[in-house]
Amino acid sequence: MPEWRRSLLRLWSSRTARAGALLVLLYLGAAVFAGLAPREPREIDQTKRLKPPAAGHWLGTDELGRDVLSRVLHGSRLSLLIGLLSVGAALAVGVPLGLAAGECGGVVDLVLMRCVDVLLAFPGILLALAIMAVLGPSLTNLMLAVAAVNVPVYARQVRASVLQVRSLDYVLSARALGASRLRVVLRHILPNIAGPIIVLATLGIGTAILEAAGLGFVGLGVEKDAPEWGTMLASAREYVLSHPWVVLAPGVAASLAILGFNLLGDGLRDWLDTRAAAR
Amino acid sequence: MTGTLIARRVLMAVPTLFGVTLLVFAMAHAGGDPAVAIAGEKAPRATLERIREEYGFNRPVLVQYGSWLGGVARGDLGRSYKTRVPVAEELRQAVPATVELATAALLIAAICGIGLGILASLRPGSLLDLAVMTVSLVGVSVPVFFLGMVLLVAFQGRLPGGGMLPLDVEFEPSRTGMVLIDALLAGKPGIAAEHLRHLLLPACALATIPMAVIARLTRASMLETLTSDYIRTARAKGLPSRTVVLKHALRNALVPIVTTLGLQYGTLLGGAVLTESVFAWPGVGQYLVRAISEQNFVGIQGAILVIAATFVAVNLAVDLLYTRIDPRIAHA
Repeated sequence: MPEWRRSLLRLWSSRTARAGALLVLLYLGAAVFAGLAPREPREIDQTKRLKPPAAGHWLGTDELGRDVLSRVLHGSRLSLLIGLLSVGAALAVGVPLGLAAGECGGVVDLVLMRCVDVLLAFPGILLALAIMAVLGPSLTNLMLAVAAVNVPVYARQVRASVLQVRSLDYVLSARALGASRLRVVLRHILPNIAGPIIVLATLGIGTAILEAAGLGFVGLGVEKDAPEWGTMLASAREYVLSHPWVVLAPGVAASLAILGFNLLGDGLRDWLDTRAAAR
Repeated sequence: MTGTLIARRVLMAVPTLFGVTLLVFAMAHAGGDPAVAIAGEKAPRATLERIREEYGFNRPVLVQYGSWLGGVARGDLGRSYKTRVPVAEELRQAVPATVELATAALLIAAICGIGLGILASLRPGSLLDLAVMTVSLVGVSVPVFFLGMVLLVAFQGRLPGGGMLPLDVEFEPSRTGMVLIDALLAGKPGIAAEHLRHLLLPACALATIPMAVIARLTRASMLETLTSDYIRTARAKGLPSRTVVLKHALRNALVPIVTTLGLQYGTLLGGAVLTESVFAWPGVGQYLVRAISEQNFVGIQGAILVIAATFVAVNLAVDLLYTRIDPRIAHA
């Protein structure tokens, strides 16, 4: 059996990774097939306000008579978009910064890490809140705010990983053979620190969904009628005691999606640790 | 711990704090013309000019920053656009409420997290261990505001779901600003007990994530310690299991846990913003959300600065405490 297949089987044998992968697959399925939802997510029907779960509306209707199931399904698409794009943007900025700080050292490292320290001095959600307060609520701004919160986290992690590998024999050999600094970073360091970055990104998608929902909950997410989980929870909060299903559906959906990425990230980390120990 | 080390750590926090002030000021001024935010988009030109003159918005940005920074150093955070009350005064009422909530949550998280972590570490791989680990994973995955709402439904009618005291109870916390402590100091245990009932649900909701983190860390730290040679020696000497676990293993396993407890305080300050919204808790979080919706940039600036500065101070305190608990760090 090829090594990669054996390795994947080992990952699949981890209960944590398996549970996480299943939840993430379920979530991806919901996002991809959200178009098959029974109703339009913004379709208002005042005659069917706050109806409990029944045959026509499996998860009931909300305060404007909109179908909760359809909104939750479309919410998964929106949160996936926010999670993937904001983590992608954070990686695109954070990884080069971390590589530069770790590889160059000296003044570059000092200046970059002091900037990172300043950004990390804010609790994540607070920084995102402040950015949204300045930029105003919109989907693009929401993704920018969530990305900005994660940039210092990725930069610091990547720098730490670079410092671990930069004095290893294979990196020193590449330098001795005359490889340029850029080549050493891109061909020798980056591929060898990809593992922790992948773990961080997987966990980061869960965090991004959580932060986006938090911003939506305080009214700083996307537009008010968008089927975003945090925004749905905010608009349904006054009905929480009388009509709890309006709150339960988006809340459980968000929790399961975040749990899936957390489990998968944990499983990946354990798998990478085992691989590192086996070497 | 040497004085030099303390001085070095404190000095290292200064540039961070300076950067925080710079970022907070920049963000508050990047949101457009503050004069328009105060008077509205349809305000006459003359009114806008008068506001710019009154608040000094027509001065160069660097001069404005210097003047604001000077005010911050004196404890003056500016005057709220909406209420015309000094922001520092408004925050003086809100900060104790958030500190009280965050501290209660940290206590709950520490007691439950360490307890669950110890239980799980004593029987690794057991059903109990699996349950604790599952609870902790779910704990870090459920949004705090959703959990707050679930608690509201679960305890409906049994515990109050909003505010700090019943509307008909009049009590002004005048000493520390924290109702629980001030009520006890004033010899009013009835009010303290009623406040505790109001505090319980938001504190439990807020405590979930730190509790989950602490439980996982305690389990990992205890598992490592319980396999050490000195624990084996203690058991071989015939010491009772309780003594071995609580006196020998836990004491050493506590070092990373204490550090994490301090760092979790930052998470709690961030989480408080959302929890306070659910439970109508009149803290900094609710103040900030209101300031944002009113576009009160002086209020936003003040609230964010206070939370970030507290976060930096707590991190610094943890750093110093860590070197105290484990002197090897100081010499590293």
